[in-house]
This record gives sequence, structure tokens and C-alpha cells, in this order.
Amino acid sequence: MSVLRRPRNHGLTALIVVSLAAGCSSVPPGYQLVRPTSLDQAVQEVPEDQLLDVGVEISEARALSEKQLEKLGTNTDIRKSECRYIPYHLKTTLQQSSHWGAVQVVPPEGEVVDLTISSELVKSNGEMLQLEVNAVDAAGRVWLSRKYHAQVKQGHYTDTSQGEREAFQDLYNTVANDLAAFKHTLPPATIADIRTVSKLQFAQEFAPEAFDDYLSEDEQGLVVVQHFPAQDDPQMERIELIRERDNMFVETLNQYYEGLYLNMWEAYENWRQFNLVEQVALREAKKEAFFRTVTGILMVAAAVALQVGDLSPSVGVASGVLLAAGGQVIISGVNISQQADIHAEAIRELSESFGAEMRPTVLELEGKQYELTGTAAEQYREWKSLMRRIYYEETGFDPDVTRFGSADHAPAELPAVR
Amino acid sequence: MGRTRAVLVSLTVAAFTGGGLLAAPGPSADPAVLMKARENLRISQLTLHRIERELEVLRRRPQIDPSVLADYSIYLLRVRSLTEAHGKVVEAMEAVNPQVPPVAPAASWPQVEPFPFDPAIPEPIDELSRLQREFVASLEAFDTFLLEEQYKAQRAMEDLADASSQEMTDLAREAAAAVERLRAKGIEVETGSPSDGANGGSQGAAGETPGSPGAPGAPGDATGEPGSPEQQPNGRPGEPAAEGASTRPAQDEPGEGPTHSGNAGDAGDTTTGSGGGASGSGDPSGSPASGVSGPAPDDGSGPTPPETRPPADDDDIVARQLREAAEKETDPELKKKLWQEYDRYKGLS
Repeated sequence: MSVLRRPRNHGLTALIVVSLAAGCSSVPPGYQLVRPTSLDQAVQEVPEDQLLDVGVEISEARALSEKQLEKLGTNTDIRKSECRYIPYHLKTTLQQSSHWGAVQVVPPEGEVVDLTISSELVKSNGEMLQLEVNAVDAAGRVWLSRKYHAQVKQGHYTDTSQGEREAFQDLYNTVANDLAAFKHTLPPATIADIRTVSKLQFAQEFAPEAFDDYLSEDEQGLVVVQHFPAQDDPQMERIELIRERDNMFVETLNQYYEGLYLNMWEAYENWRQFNLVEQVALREAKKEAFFRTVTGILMVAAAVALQVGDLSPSVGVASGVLLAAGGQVIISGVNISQQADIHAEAIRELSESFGAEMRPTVLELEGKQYELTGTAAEQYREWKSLMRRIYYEETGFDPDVTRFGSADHAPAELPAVR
Repeated sequence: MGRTRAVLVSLTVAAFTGGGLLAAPGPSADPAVLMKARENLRISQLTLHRIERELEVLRRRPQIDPSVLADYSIYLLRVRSLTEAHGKVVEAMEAVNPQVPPVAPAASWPQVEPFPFDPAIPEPIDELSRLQREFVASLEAFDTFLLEEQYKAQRAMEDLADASSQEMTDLAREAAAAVERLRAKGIEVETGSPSDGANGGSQGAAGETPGSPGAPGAPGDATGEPGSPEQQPNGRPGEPAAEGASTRPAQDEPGEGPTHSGNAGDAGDTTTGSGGGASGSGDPSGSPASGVSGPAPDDGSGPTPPETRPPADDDDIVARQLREAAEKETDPELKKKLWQEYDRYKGLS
């Protein structure tokens, strides 16, 4: 058993050494390492009928254990704020690329848009950002499902500009470029279809009786347009009016998101920057402490081996010197280890302080979002009811009867609204 | 039921005769009261007549809203009841005042002007139009709601900016006060713009002797590279501060330590650096003022006249904040105080 254990211990030691030496630079399997990337901007104006509206959903934070959070030097409050900061910055990056129509941050699964981008925040600590991004268009076509890993040095924090360029800009640029690259692979007719599909999906949501059979699924599971509404379809005109209001509502929400984004910019950047410095220092201290301790132990072991192997006075002196030096090296390793503790404490304090600073702001935003979406949902319910009654008046068909076969089978209430 | 009805009739009669009947046991014999009751009856009948005609016109309309007809019918019925009540009052009074001649019958009353009836009610609408109107009204209401919310969001942003501005001014004042305390202890603090020779300059300042005037500054080369040792004899990036006077933390190496605005980031990575090799003191002008040690005495002489102040380009963030606050301040006392703090921080007073 002991023979078997030895190589495993060596392997573990080697792993520790490698991981300490590598720091956080290792890219986990399945992640794409982000390289220095400039933003691909549209060289000429995109025609109106080729502009897709984009909804960037509020990010989800992957659940991490307390230990993982501590290791990253972050906490749940910070991650909550990041979940609002990241989509907003992605929005600004997409806007800068000029490839898209309206780009807005939207609540999760809350909006019908041409292209929906969702993201999961995996890890973030100022030195590293790991993000999983998915993008799906209205037809259900997956544009992107990728995990990004970006790492920065402190120099990346010197060239930032509020609302435009941030330390992990390469990651945002990469996501934006990947999306633009996929868009270029689609024929113009497909892009036009995506716009029509989202328009009809919105119409279906508000007037299912009128637009139920306008869309269907093809053999690949993609939503396709069965037929188009007439140019002067009065019901579609009303739906368009509602959609304008829905867009205004999302714009209003975005004003609040922007407030948080701008409000936290400086503090967030400071936190990330100092966290990076402390993380680097902590890692260096740990590495140094480890090597010194190992070196000291080896020196002591060598001294003992010398004494055991040869008892001549000269060897004895050399052994003693080696022993003393080894002891000193071990002590210095312990001292450096204590420095590492100081860095770890600094990281903890910084995170607590920044998290506490952000908590009330995020809570306030959440409250506002809840209030606004509640009011809008109430209004949307009313519009759905109106659309239903208008449909009845215009066609003479009882929507309950036409849709459910008989009024008796109709649901007591309208389906739940967003 | 009959008793209740009688009470109601009595009350109605009393009400339409000015309450006089409530006190009296029977109908009034006063001719004046009878005349007034007759007048009320006449007006009631005229009103009733008008309403009957209006209702007739409405009924002839092809697409009348049934709810409008219903309301008009109720209106007519109520006025008819009132008229009947007035008739009973007059009848009772005339019974006890036979000497007062009755008025002419209603048929002989002058007719009301044939009326071009145009009641101020909405055009008759069908259900679809009504729903359409309801829809438009709800859109307008939602627009109003959104505009109000957008206004609130805008206000929130402005409040945030104001609060942030005040907070930054407070921070700048506290920073300036700390600098004063340091100067009082004989420690010189560089207050020039970090972008002017900051890369090398700010580090070079670390080793300066407190109170020594700043060395003449060399123009920056805009490369963002750390200053050369020749250009900054008293310090270079990566070196700890010399004994004594540094108030700025030295970096372990470029790009690793905490950065300050204008300091070198990763060597070669900085695009905003301007002139790494400028003066050792970070003061490109080499003004002796930047080397003045100790706090400037507040002799109450007031702030430096604006024309003698150096341009704002030379301000670091604390000075910039103080200057902006002073420029924006409308209270003369506070304005003067802020300028004094600015001058003291800059070593101008």
C-alpha cells in the first residue's frame, strides 16, 4: 500500500506546484480563452429590414459554495450586482458594433425579441471572468452557446472608459463578434423571417385567437411563418401600438438598469482592481511560502542524511550549517505564509465592503423592477382582454368557442401574463 | 307600504313648498305660498315636456346607445314624479284657497322654443367603437405612466450625480485636509497633475527631500514608458520609496501594484500615459511652489486671485474636484472657503 501511495503523493505535489505556478491562467475544459480582440463594427449602415432587435437578459449567477466564493474573493451581493452590470455592458458593446437594431437589457424570459441573449456568470474576481453565453433567435435557432474565459492584468484597468470600455472588454468584444459573425452567415430572407416571427409571436401573446395559426414549426423544430397578416389588418395595427408601448416600457426599465450600471462602475472597477492585486500577491506569497518550506525541509533532510552517512568533523560542520540554513528557510516560509493570510484578509474585507455598498442599490433596483413589471403586467392583461373582445366584435366569433370548441371548455381566466 | 308612501308624499310636498308645510298641520292658506307652488309646478311641467321631446328625438336615432336611452328614461320618470308631487301640493293648497284664481291650463302655456336638440352626449357608438376608444384611452394612460417613470428615472440619475458630486467634493476636502496635516509634519506632497510626467515623476517624488523645490520638468514623450533612471534620479517604478517622504505607495513592478491615475500600467500597454520621463517632482513647470513644505498659513487674506492661479491642467484629482466645487458653488462664503482649500492644497497660499 505504501508503495502505491508514494507516486500519488508525488503526483499531488506536482499538481500543487503546477497549479501554484500557473495561478489562475489555466483555462477550464470547454471554455474558450479570450484573446485580445477588437470590436467588429459594421462598415456600412445595415438596412432597416436587416436590423434585429436584441434583448440581453439579466444574467444568472451560477451557484457557488461559500468556499468557492471565498477563494474567488467575492460574495453573493457582488455577484448580484455583476448580474446586472454584465448584460448592460454587453448591451453597450453591441450598440457600439452597429450591427443591431434596438439593444435592451430585459428581465429573464420576459420579452419577445428577435434575438435573445442569456448568460450565466460562472466566476469573476477582477483577474478572471468566466461567462457562459447563449443566444437564440425568435425562430428558436441557436446562434451561440459558448463558455468564455478571460484573464486580465492590472494594465487592463488603466485604459477603461465609463460606459464604453472596461477591463474585460476583449470578452465582450468576442461575444459581440461571434454574434455578428453568425448573423453574416444568415441570408437576408432568414433575417427578415426572424423579424416577422417575433412580430407574430408578440401578436399571438396578445391576441392568440387572431394569430394562432400564423406560425408553425418545421421539421427541425424552428418556428416558421405560415402566412403573413394583411397590410391593413386592424388587429395587427393595434398589436403594433401595444408593441411600441412594450418597447417604451423596456426603455424605461433600462434607464434604471443604466443607473445601477453607471453608479457601480467606479466602485466595481476599484474592487476588481484591488482584488486582482491582492489575488496576485496572495498567490505569489503562497507559492513563495510553499517553495521555501519545501526547500527548507529538503535542506534539513539533506543535513540529516549527511550526518547519518558520514560522521567526519567537516561533514558534521557542513551538516550543521545546512540544518541551520534549512531551519531559517522554513521559518521564512512560515513568515511569508503569514503575509499570505494578510492578503486573504484584505480580499475578504474588500469584498465585504463592496458587497455591502452595492446591496441597497441592487435591492432598490429589484424593487423598482418588480413595481414596473407588475404595473405593466396588469396593463398587458387588460390589453389582452380588450383584444379578445375586439376580436369578438369584429369577427362575430366567440373566441372561447372558436378556440376551445365550446365556451364550456374555455379557461376561467386568461393565461398568466409575463 | 301605504303609510310609508304617505310620509314620502308629505316630505316631498314639504320640500317643494320651502319647508313651510312641515311646521303647519295642513296646506298653507297663504296666497303667496300657493303662487310659489304653482310656479314650481309650471317649471316642473315645462321640464317634463322638454325631456319627453328630447327622449323622442333620441329614440328616432338609428344607432342609439341603449344605455343612453335607459338613462334618459330614468331622468324622465324622476321628473315626472316630481311634477306629480308638485301637482298634488298645488291641488291641496287650492282646496283651502278657493278665492285665489287658478292659473291657465298647461295647454295654453307658451310653448318652449322648438328646440334644435343637440344633447351634449357622445355620438351613438357601437360596441366595437367603444372598445376601440377604451383601447386608445388605455394606451394614452400607459404612455402617461411611462413618461412619469422615465422622468423619475431621469431625476434619480440626476440625484445620483448630485450626491456623487457632493460625496466626491467631501472626499476631496478630506484629502486636502490630510495633505495639510502631512505638510504640517514636514512631509511634502505632490499635488500636480499625474498626467504631467506622472509615470516617472510621481515615483521620483517619492525620494525627494521634503521642502525641496521641484526639478525642472522635461516634456513627456507620450510613450507611456516608465521614466528612465537618468530622468528620475530619486526613484523609479518598482523601487520602494527612499526614506522619509513618500506619500504615494511604490509599485512592486509596473502593472502589478495598485495603480493611480497616470501611473504606469503594464509596460508598453499603456496608451494614455504621457511622458514617462518628466520631472522628478511631477511638476512640469518646475515651479518652486510645488516644493513648498509645510502648511500654508491661513492669514485670512483670501484665496489667490483667479488670474494668478495656474491652469487646471496641472490639477490632480483632489485639486480638480475642489476647483470644480468652488466654481459651481453659489454661496459666496463657501465658495471662498473652497478656493482657499484649493489654494492651500496646491501650495498657492
